[in-house]
Amino acid sequence: MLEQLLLILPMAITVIGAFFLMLLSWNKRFTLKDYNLVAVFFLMLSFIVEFPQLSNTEIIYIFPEVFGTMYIIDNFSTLFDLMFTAGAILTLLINTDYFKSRNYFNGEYFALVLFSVFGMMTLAHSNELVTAFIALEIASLSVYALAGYHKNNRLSTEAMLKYMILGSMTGAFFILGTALIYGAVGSTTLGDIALFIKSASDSESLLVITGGTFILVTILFKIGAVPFHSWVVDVYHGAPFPVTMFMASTFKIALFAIALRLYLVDFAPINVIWSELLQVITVLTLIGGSWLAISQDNLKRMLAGSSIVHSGYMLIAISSIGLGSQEAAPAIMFYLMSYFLSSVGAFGILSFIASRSNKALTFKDFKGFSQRRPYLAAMMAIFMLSLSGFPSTIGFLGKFYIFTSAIESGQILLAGLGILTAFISVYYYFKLIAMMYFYPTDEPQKKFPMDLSGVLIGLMAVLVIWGGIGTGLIPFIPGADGFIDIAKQAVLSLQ
Amino acid sequence: MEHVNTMNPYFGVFVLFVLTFGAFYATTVIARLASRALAAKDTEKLKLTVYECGPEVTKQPNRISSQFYLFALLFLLFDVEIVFMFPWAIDFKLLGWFGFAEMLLFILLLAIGFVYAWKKGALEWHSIK
Repeated sequence: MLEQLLLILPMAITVIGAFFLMLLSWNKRFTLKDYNLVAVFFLMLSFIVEFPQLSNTEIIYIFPEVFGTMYIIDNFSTLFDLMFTAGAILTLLINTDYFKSRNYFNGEYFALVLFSVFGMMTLAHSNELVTAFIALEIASLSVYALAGYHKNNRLSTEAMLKYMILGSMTGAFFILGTALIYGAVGSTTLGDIALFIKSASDSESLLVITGGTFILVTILFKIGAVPFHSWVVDVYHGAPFPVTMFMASTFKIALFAIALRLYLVDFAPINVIWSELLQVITVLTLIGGSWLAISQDNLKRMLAGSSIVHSGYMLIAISSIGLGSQEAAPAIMFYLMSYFLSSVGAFGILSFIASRSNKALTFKDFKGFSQRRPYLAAMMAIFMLSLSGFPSTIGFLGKFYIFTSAIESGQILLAGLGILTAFISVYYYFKLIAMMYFYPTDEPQKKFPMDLSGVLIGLMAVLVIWGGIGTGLIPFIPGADGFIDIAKQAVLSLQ
Repeated sequence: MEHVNTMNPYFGVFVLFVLTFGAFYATTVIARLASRALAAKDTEKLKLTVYECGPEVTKQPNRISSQFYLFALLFLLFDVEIVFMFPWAIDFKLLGWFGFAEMLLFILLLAIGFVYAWKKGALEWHSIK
């Protein structure tokens, strides 16, 4: 029993930290810096406790005599947990200056971030549909509240309301799908559903297919695929920078955790059915997202539009899973990692600049940025190159694996469209690089302050380059190959 | 590469689908152009008022305090807690010490929420800190 408690310790630490911060927050003696440190301490502790579990390759169910097979611990979920905690730590540390520069942050903010991370961790570990729904709602409700954190700002309130109403409605689709599947199978545990699908005839599994489609709708909404994308740009724009960063990187990873578990294990025998649907949605997502990103003038909105395109690339790999590609699932995990590094870096630089000025951060505000802050401009250029998939960055390798998996499963036209949208994305990413380097500046500045945010953003830039070229250059330090091996091992632990 | 399969039984439905949406779009465009060309563009004061079935438009006199929502939420918190305790009490012997510990944990989590609401001043009228 103690061993099992030790296995769920990372999640327990996160939720205890959240409650601790909640109780701390009514005390006026503590400053924002204290709250930030406490939150980072709990997340760091959770990360350190979790890390040794990565070498554990067996599948363990927690308290099987009480919960059955609801709560699973395997390599896959551990890897995702580590990504969530790392994402939250980076988000909190990079935005230290931003918290100080705005007066509306308080202790509850950090408690909500920890609650959200707890929900995501539970989502990665859930092996049962109702548990997954509750975990998804814990994570989403915290993110709704975070999106509207600037209460007196019209944009922020609008973002929260839009996100909450649409998100709750699509959340209901998940529970409806669960009910339909329960009606057919008589159980909501993933293993039972897989057994049922293997033995059932076509007419018997009709309800399961309908339910699976409803669950797919919820997942597609939360990752912002195109028929369900109407909220993305407004919510990403209205939410405070740290929250946008958290949503774009960490929360998106969580959705792919449950999507991979469902469509690799649960619906594995019948997921060919959804591949045509997914192909249509992928085409719409790639084209619609590119269109949205091109037409934006504000950088935050542009990154929001481009995050839709990145969801589209990952959807290519999800439909490849259905068509029998072995490389697709590790490719998605690698892509998530690469998108996470590049987008956290890009949003980090934006929030770093926003904490020092009150500009709206349009493309024009970046004219001559390389002369004002040469290091930050160079890092921004690296992140933009990585997001557009330029060779020698981690973004290129991510796209390479995705397109390889698509070609392996015979979706040559879809891979072609993906490459085409990658070329289109060069337009809106390189527009920023051109603004930074090829225009004179009107306000020269010769000071280059060094602080934690700058160092962390620099570290991310190094990792982006390292993931692109660093394979095997230095022994004992894993590069891109190392991560794809870890991802493959994690996917193997699912089956 | 396959050709478009016109023999599919649903192909007719698809054509109807496209035609319907085309007709719908054409109607909206024509209606907009026609109204732009034909409509009278007076800006009389009476024309621009809100239609309220005859009576004059007034502001809502009695606004409901948002405090009620907070109280309803807190009530729900403890109401649901009690609902969960009934089945636990019936199966108390069956669940044993594990069930007891689980229920203690459950009450502890809700108690933390209660303490937070209390300290935040949610239990006092009109005094949210």
